Amino acid sequence: MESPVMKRLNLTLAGLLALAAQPLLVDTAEAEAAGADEVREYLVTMARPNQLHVIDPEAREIVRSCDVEGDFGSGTLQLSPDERTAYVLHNRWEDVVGIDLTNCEEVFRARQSTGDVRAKALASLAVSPDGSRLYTVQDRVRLHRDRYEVLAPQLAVYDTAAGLDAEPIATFPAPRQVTTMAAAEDGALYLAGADIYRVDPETGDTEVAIANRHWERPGFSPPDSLAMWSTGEVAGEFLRPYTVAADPGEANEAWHWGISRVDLASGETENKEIAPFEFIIFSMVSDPRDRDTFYGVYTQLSKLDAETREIVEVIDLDHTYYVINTSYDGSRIYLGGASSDIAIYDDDFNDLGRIELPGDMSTATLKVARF
Amino acid sequence: MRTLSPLRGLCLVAIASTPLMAGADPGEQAIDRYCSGCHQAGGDDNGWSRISAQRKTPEGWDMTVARMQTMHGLELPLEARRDIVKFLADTRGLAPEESAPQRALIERRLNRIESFDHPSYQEMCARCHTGGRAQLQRRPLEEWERLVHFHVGQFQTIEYQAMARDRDWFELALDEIAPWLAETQGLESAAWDAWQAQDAVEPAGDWQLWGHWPGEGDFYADVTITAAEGEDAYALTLDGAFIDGRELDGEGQAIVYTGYEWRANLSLNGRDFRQVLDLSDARPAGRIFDDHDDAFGMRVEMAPREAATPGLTASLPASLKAGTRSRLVLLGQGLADGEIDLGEGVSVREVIERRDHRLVLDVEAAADLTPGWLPLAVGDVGADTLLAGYQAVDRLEVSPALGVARVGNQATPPVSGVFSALGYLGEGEAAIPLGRVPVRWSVAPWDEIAEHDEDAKYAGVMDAATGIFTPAGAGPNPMRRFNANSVGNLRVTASVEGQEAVQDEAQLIVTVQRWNNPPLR
Repeated sequence: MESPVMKRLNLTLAGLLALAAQPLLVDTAEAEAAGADEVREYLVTMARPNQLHVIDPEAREIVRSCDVEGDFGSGTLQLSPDERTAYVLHNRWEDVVGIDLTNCEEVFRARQSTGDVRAKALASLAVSPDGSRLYTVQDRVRLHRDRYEVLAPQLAVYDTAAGLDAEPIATFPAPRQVTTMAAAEDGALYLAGADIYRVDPETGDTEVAIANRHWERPGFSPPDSLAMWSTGEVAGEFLRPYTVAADPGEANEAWHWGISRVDLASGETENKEIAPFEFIIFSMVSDPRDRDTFYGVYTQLSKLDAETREIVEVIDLDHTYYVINTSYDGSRIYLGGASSDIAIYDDDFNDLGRIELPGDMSTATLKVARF
Repeated sequence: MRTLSPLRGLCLVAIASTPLMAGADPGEQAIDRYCSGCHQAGGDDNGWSRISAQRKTPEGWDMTVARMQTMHGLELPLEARRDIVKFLADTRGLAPEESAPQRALIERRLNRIESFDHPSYQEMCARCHTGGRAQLQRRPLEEWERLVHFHVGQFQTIEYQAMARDRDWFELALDEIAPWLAETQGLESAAWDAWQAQDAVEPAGDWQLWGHWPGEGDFYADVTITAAEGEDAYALTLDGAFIDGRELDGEGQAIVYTGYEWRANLSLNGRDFRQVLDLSDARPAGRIFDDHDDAFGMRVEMAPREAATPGLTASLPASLKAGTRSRLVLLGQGLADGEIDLGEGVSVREVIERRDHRLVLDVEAAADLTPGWLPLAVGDVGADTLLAGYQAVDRLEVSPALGVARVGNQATPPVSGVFSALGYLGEGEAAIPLGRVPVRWSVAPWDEIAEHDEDAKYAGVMDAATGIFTPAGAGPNPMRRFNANSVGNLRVTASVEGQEAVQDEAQLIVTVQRWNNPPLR
């Protein structure tokens, strides 16, 4: 939250700029001034070689591009609760960097690798609901002189106020193969691994919130999940899609898309099949207005109805996109990742245009931030 | 900015501080100089750590050294790399029996479907590389376990990929795969002990070699191998011809590893090739192939020009069609004298060349030739099942049944689809192979999706006469749905010339480039 003093200052700045007849010089101050108290919605993503982009989806233009020192990868993003700071997994999965979206300032950096232990987080990044803690799950390997030694993964807890040389303030053993992660409103951490785990970040106590690999569902194959994109902030959920075969090996074998989902406000969990598996989906979000309508993306954009378990609509895209998100009012669908353009569609899949970035987004997350 | 990883850093420091140790062999010296900083001598390994506890092919060792260069900052001259590979392949190689099941992989015959006697090895390991790649290594359990650790350390996403993210990959690799490999491919073996006790094969001398050059035809060549400067190094010349009389000449340089692994660089009629031969057999066999377009190659056999026992070893071609006149080349020993009898209905119109090891004939097969084997007799030597005659082809067999071609460009050359069609007389086990018979080739969409996406139009061009498919150029194709590359899923059909109903088909997947092309895939 910002103070009334800052608001006044912003307005003044904007007025000065306007009086000076400057060309459109986009700044947070101006953006806010444009609609007084109106909160603007921005898209935030990473692109190669190493830039964090803040994008105005209405104007279809990049508002700000922040250089982030280090090599690209994975580009997994999470936002602070005030949505003004983006934390990015960077430098070949080894660093977490916090960037102030309003001015590109680097406000946080944790180098996870230390000494002869190399630590990488594939897509495991979360921020506590009060913004004070940042969590990663680190895949660790000890680099001996002539061999690698795979170590047990660990959940690392950082203080977001620790600055540019942050060290973990606590670590706990973590399961292998964890990808995406989210913090619920009650502070519990949810980790997408073999199962969806619920972790108390104060104690490291871990339990299975949703059984996936270890579910007991006679007549179903084990599920297969590709979960690399930490979206879900718009609908307030932690969502992982999966594919599964019902009656595997039988004459009536049928493949489905399913979802494992945690409501980040209530902590409620669910796991269910939502539509037939007819095409690949890399990432999925639900419609913020209707929790049982899902949008999925890869080389198609699709709308799935979990109530009827039908594919409502599917269109071919001009190329592959990895990551999907929606506006907070649900009227816009944003597609990013893979290549260098963000596509915008409305909820009837009318093409609303593209925003070209200077580099490929690859595996980066596409987040929606309001400030 | 490139980050110096701890492993990289540690080793560089160690290398710099390693004194030059004197070894008898240049390879041994090079290992002491370039490797022992990290792979320290002594301990239980009885040699350099890690290195001494493994046995591999020359390609396997070369890939290891290459990885040390690309991933761990090792810098060494090319000559040292060669010396190291030579020394390790000689002293820590595979016996012929050990490499025998995977000759196809060493010879870069990649259009095969592997199968293994393990329930999950294919999904656990052979989803990324051939299963054969690990089958060409020997290690004790600890080293197989370290290989598992290496995989997770080197390829950080390995546990997250399809067929890994649905299982406890790391635990399964350690608990199920490593012990199986240690049991079936342990470091110690009687075969290796026995091979090391044997004298190395001496390739210098006069040989004749034969094979089939795709699109050009059957060929034969006199090969002269002479010792060259360097350990187990040889020079070779090839003086031969296609059976239609066109010349085939070439030369090359070779090194023999492990006492039998012949590796040569050849220039044949001006085109560069690699050659792999297993010299452990009295009649060495292997393959000559294009290093960049490895589907383009020819399996070859080689026999001493002066064999101990007279006999016929090969007929080029393997069959004659009734009512045709053609060249026939018979290879063997003791062919210089005596009457030439090619079976009933085949007459010799002209003897073009007659030498002790080769006959080149102009022959005519009668129109009323009786289909079946044509018993051959040249003087005192003969062969009853080397040449067949036919009126019509009963059955056609296209190989490979599934081929993979790759689009390409200058930086990443395309990989061709190379198909052959073998004819047969009769059915079942009693069928008589006719070898390559004249066919016409075509491609069509494999399925409805391929038809819809017009794969046959975009993916490349099949040469109707040769069965060689030339893939299209690489990169997104704006003419296609999703800007897809010019990939395709095609049905390859061969039909016998003059017998269109006699056909066989194969599947050809035309896909994108491979960016990482080590000698063992």
